[in-house]
Amino acid sequence: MTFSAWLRKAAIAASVFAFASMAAVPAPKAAAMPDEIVIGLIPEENIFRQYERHLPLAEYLTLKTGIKVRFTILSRYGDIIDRFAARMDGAFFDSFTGLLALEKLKVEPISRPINIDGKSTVRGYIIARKDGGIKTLGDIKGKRAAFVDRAASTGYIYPMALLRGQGVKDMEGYFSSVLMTGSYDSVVFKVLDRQADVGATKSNIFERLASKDPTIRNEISVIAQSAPLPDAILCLKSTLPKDLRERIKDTLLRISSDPRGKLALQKLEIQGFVTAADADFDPIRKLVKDAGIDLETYKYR
Amino acid sequence: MKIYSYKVVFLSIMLVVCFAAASYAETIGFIITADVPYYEKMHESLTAVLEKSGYGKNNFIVQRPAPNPLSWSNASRKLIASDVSILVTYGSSATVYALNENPRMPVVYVGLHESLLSETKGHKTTGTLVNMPISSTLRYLRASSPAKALGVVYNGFEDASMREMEEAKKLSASYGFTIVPVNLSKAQNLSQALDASKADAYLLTSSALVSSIFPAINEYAASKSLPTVSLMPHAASDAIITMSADPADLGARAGEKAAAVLKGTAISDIKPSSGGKTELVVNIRDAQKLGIRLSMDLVAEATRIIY
Repeated sequence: MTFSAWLRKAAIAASVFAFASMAAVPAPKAAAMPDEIVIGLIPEENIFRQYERHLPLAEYLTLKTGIKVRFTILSRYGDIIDRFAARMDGAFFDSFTGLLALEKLKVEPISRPINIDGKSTVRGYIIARKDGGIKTLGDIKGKRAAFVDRAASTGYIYPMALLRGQGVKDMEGYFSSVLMTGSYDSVVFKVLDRQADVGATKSNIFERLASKDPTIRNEISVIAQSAPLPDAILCLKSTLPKDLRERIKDTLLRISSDPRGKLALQKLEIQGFVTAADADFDPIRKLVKDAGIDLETYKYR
Repeated sequence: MKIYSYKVVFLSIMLVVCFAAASYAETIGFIITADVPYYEKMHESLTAVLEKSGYGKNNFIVQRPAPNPLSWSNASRKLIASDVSILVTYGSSATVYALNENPRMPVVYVGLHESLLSETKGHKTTGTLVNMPISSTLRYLRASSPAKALGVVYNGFEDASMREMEEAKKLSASYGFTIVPVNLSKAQNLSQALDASKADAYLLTSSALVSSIFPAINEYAASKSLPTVSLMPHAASDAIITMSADPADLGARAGEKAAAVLKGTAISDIKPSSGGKTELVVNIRDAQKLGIRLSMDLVAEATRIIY
């Protein structure tokens, strides 16, 4: 046998051996289907009301996916990042916590809601009482401010970016006092009740409250508003079975064509859901940059 | 050397005596309407600030008039005649009636209704202001009670109370209430006046007179299973919903202004301040007894809950 022939035979043998070895390596296990999944809700409004509104959606998802879906409301915004890994399979994030989740946790954006106004985005609102003497942003210095939480996009990050654009580096020091209310509807009530002079809330929450109680619009003015931001983005752990993630996504995207799904939407006061993607977070990425926030070091707790 | 030491000691003693004499010379006149625990809390907090600034009870002259115009005017005249260094008035009525007497000394008011700020024009005044949103009280009551006729208990001799009643009237239609004014200054008998109102809920305005008989009003309302909303808290009795400015905060902030005036700051340089701490107190204990289910928003926004 010539050397080249020997070399050829050795190469063939090595290839066969390598192939056989690979075939012997067990294929990666498909993620096991869970009996139950837990989806977190951040407390954007009165938690009792929020839970009540979301319950029919949980029941609908359970029915359609065949997996028990349970919602849990966290006590505050910052908790969603800290507790997500151990206790949840998914969550409805606001744009800032969603961005944190994309960066720090292994999540996949699935869907976000279409609001009653037909839009799938919200705006931050800076509000004040009409009779409080605050007409423009120039009037808010030294006043009592109500925010939601340091991890809330329109309830803290937006006003931070807004004021930084006006040269204010220490937002909390700009006001005579700062109240962290924990939810967007509470910001509106604090301003209405004169417990705060100015507040940072969210358009859909404000519009929902005002549609139920028109007197609110008589008393409150919106002195500034943000660019559109994504909101209530459902993100699921990428370790959940792909089939389950697809099933949940599909269920939500088709929900408005199902009478039972429509009931859940009615309770949520939304029209339906659209697909969510990483690019949806670009506006909040800009806002975070404008606010001078470094996601690695920002103290949101 | 010895003579030098004695001189230093003597001069030090003289300095201390002069300082003490200067503090002792300042007198502060207070007008606190009697039987209004809300004003007593303001007073406690204000005098604590003054004491820290070196003005103790020896400097204080206190008048406790009954809640009526003649008593307020007489109390003011007495203090003006005593030539106090400054006059401190608690609540809108004591302030307005004191200013009517044209005091020559500075006046520091505590808890003056913001709508009455114009009454201070031309006088040497500063102080703390209040303006509780009637709309919020109506909103919370509407969300918690099916009441239609809202009896607004006020005193026709107290401007702040009158304005709150008028504001309630203006807003009533938006909240689905019919306002039934109950003017205590014209009432011969409280029970008869409340009976005649045929109200199915009561709003108690921030009137010194209303506050002085608050327990009786609350007892009447409870006997008829009617909810009460109050703009002034009362130590001995709790309305179902109370929305008020924090009296300790009002008193402390006014105390700082009073101390500054006593130390020589021109009163025109001390701006009156509004927007301090407020309290929303929810009385779940009595609401349950009346069969009232309070709204989720109200309970969530409460700064204090009574169980």
